[in-house]
Amino acid sequence: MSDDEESGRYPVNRAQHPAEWIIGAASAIGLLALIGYLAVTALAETDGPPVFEPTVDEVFAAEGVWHARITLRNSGDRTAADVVLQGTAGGGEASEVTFDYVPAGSTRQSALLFDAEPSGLELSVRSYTDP
Amino acid sequence: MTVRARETGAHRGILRDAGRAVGGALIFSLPMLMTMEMWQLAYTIEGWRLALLLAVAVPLLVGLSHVIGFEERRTLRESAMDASFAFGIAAFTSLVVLTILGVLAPGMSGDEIAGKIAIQSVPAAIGALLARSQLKSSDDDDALGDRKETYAGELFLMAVGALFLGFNLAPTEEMILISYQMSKWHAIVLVAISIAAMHGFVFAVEFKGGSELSEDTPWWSALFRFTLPGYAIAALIALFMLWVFGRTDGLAPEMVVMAMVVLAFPAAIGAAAARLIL
Repeated sequence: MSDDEESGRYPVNRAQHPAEWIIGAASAIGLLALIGYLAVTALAETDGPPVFEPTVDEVFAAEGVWHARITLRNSGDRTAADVVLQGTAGGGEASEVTFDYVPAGSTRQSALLFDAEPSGLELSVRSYTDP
Repeated sequence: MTVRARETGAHRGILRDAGRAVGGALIFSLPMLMTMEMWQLAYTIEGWRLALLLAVAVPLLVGLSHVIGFEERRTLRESAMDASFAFGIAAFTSLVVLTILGVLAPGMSGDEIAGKIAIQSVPAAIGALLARSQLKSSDDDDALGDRKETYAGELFLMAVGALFLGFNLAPTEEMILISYQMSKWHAIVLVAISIAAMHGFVFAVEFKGGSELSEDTPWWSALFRFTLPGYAIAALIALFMLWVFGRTDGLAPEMVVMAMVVLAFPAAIGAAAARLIL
């Protein structure tokens, strides 16, 4: 087998179809967009702590147990791990839940359970760790 | 081999093929069969995402079977038969191994058992198909070595490699944890390293199965036409897998991009390795 035939085995050395350059160009544009996006968000980033915004989505009873569905949003700049959220109902009954991770700018859902209807439910985040 | 010899060997051939397929399924999927997150996915994944994953996997397996098939001029039907065979072997192997390991137990719902087997079957089926090309004995017909590689075929193989290695890592919590630990600057460097590693694997370090660039083909031409599309494919597959496994739910767009970059690293290596091995 001559050298020419040998290297002709690989598509990379064969006559090039225009589609190869179009796909290459599309990929290069996508890649530049990715790097540009990362660079822009990196420059815009500030290094504040996590900021928690817990909200009660709905409260309902099922099989004699009250469920309070919670959405916890982290509007801060850093991701928090092992986030402990405590809910205290007006009657004094308390319940808590731990989130594995609440990434920066993201939301996580969970539920707190109560024996009695949790009217006047107050939510507060008690602790978190850095991931 | 004569026609007659082929015919008499047919019965033994089926058992041999099945044995090889089980072997391939085991080699390629044991890391996943023994990963906790893969079991948990069975009850955390939404049914329609699992269905979509299988819907994507089926044409991919048929295509893979077509590309690495032994006989020349194979029909699509034969490739589809091969892929179904591999899928069946993969599901069977997953069922047996997961049962022995106590992952499947009486009292589990049918949904959970089916989900656990279905998720494992995809990488195991890729393994079962690869076994036919990689674990064959040396006196078998070697159509693979003479196979004429095409541009589309190369991109397809990269997608399979990316999916396969991505499958090993996408379900693990580490993918997300790593993206939390990294800064955006780390991510930019990781993108560059992924692309450099991909390009180096195939064109520069002269691994067996790598492509040698001829003198008329400058390195940047190969980078532009092969490596960059390869990385784009790896990144898109990484994103797809993160989404299928529910890793992107509730995540801010920039965290999704970070997780994609993290998973695209092994996916890119898988894509490059597929070009060397297949």
